[in-house]
Amino acid sequence: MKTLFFALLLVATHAYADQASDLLKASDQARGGIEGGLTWKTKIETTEDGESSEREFIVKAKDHDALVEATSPARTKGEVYLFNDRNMWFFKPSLKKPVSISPRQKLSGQAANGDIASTHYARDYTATLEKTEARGADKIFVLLLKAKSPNLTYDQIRYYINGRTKLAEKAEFLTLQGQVFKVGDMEYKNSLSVGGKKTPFVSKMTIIDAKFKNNKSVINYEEPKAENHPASLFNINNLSR
Amino acid sequence: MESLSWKLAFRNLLRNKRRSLATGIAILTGYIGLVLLGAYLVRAQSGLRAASVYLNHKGHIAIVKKDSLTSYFSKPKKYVLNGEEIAQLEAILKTRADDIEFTGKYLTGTGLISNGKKSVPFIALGFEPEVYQKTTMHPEPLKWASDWVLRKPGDQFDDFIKDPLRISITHRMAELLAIPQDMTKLSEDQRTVQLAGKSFYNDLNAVNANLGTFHTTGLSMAEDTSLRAPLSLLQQLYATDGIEYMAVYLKNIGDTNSFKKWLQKEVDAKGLPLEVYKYNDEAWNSYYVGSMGFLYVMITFFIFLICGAIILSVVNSTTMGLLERLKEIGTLRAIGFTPRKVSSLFVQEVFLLGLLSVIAGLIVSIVIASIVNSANIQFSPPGTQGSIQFLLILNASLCLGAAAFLIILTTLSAAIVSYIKNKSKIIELLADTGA
Repeated sequence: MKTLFFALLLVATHAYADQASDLLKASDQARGGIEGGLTWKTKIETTEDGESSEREFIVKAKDHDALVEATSPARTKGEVYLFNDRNMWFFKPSLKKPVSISPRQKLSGQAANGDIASTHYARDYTATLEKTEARGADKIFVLLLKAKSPNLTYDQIRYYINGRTKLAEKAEFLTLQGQVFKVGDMEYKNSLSVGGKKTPFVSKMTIIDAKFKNNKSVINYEEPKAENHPASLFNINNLSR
Repeated sequence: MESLSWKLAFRNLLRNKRRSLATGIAILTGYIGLVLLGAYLVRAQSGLRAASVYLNHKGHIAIVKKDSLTSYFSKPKKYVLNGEEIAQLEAILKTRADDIEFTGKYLTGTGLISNGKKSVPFIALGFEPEVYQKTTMHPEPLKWASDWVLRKPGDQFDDFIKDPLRISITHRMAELLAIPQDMTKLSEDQRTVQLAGKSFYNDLNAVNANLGTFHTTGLSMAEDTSLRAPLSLLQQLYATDGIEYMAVYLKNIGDTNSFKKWLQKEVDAKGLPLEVYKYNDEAWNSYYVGSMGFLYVMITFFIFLICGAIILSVVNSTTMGLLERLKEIGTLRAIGFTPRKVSSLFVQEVFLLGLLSVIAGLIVSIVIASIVNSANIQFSPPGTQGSIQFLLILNASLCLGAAAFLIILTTLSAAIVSYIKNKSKIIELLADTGA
């Protein structure tokens, strides 16, 4: 009887883990985590300590790599952020070599460097289903994501995925101790045609400081399109040539 | 009469040679202890002061923007001194040019140093290359903190004047970056590194820099992250033309307090939002103040122990002498010596003993200090980087001060004991059996 009970428990746990992982994989697609090449424009509007600023980028992503070029303000033009798998580099034309940077560092206001490129949470985090919540007719799956390696943007994320749309609606970014330090809300008004199929794509992500609510960054995603990029575009050695 | 009493005091000292010797040794040992503790304190204070004022560029006086000490790192743009403020400050300082040896402008900031393979966080200090040369070659640090001046033979500390992109890192940072400790072996490409940091506009920025110079902060906690660079290079990195602080190096350290008061008054009168700090202000130089505070507490404790032992020894010796000589005291009193006069005999006796012991102690202290200094004993004080030489620096004021202190202490102890004991009546003193 006992053995049967534990066997059932094990099967149930596996089933929940698989479900969490599947949800995560599906939600990543709408945040750039798809295998083909993608291009979109990003505008980050930041309000921090009463001061506002704006920054614009073009993001070119393919698989787990991404190249982010700053386009505005003028003083940042030509600056490039390169994501090679989980490594991240910064480069500008006046530099002799690219600089290895951390995805955790602040890019602008509440947005970390790692927030700007495509999201691969299914690859980078281990997901467990914490609970489910009802929102009208929809069921919201609340997943706890734990980083698989220390060089990721966040240690832990509480991720709210809509079971019907398979889109992540909210993310609570947690410290190692499990305290929320910022909260992200996502909107999906963009759409993308991949392999002849139209899929929703993130249009806005608002990241708010958990303590100082007036400090926030809004990442706007514009003109997403499927586009094939050569592998050489993401080669670190080509940056300084 | 006066010379007779000194003669009597001297003879009395020789009457019980063993006791006089024991008391004398207690005073002598105490004196040696005081002088050597003081010598260590002088060395530690001078070393720490030279290191913080010159090598860590705190200056004797530092001028920062109001509230900068608490808020500069979170909002550097708001708390830098801009060109206009610097010009006004320089105009004020010009009026006391005779008291100033030189001034320096500084900027600090954080970021990452990258050699193309690895990135390591840094806390950078930006300085004017000419000022860096002056501070590092100043006689004070070369005399008191030479262990922390990493000087190659013939080094003129002009690396940053010759190469405006030159930066200095610590040996520990070189280890973290996996760079060889001997930088002469590096190729041109290996010498080139990048400094990345958040500009004052909150953008990530990066600049090229050249390796080639090593420094040490003297503080183990700062060795992992300390980086030094020309002011212009850091200003370029952080996209500013401002500075975090201006340091004033005075000709005479004794002027520090008065100069600080004067300067604060002047900047307030001009309505400049600036704060003036001395090198020994806790808010500005907490490491120096904290280290000195710890040393003062420790040394005060030892002084109490030493003084306690000496007082006990002198009180014991004087009391024994009085008890043994009660009849003699009675006779002296009977032939007209006042109690005060009799007391003064004992006081003179202890004074002479103290004087002789202190002279002997001075000779022994000089010998010990010479042996210790020539033995080149290296030690690592808590919190400091690497080892430094254990030096005992004797100076005249220290030796004279300790001597005066001990002689007064022993004489006073004897005076109090003999005054209390001499209150007895003559008949009681004469009737004493000595039992």
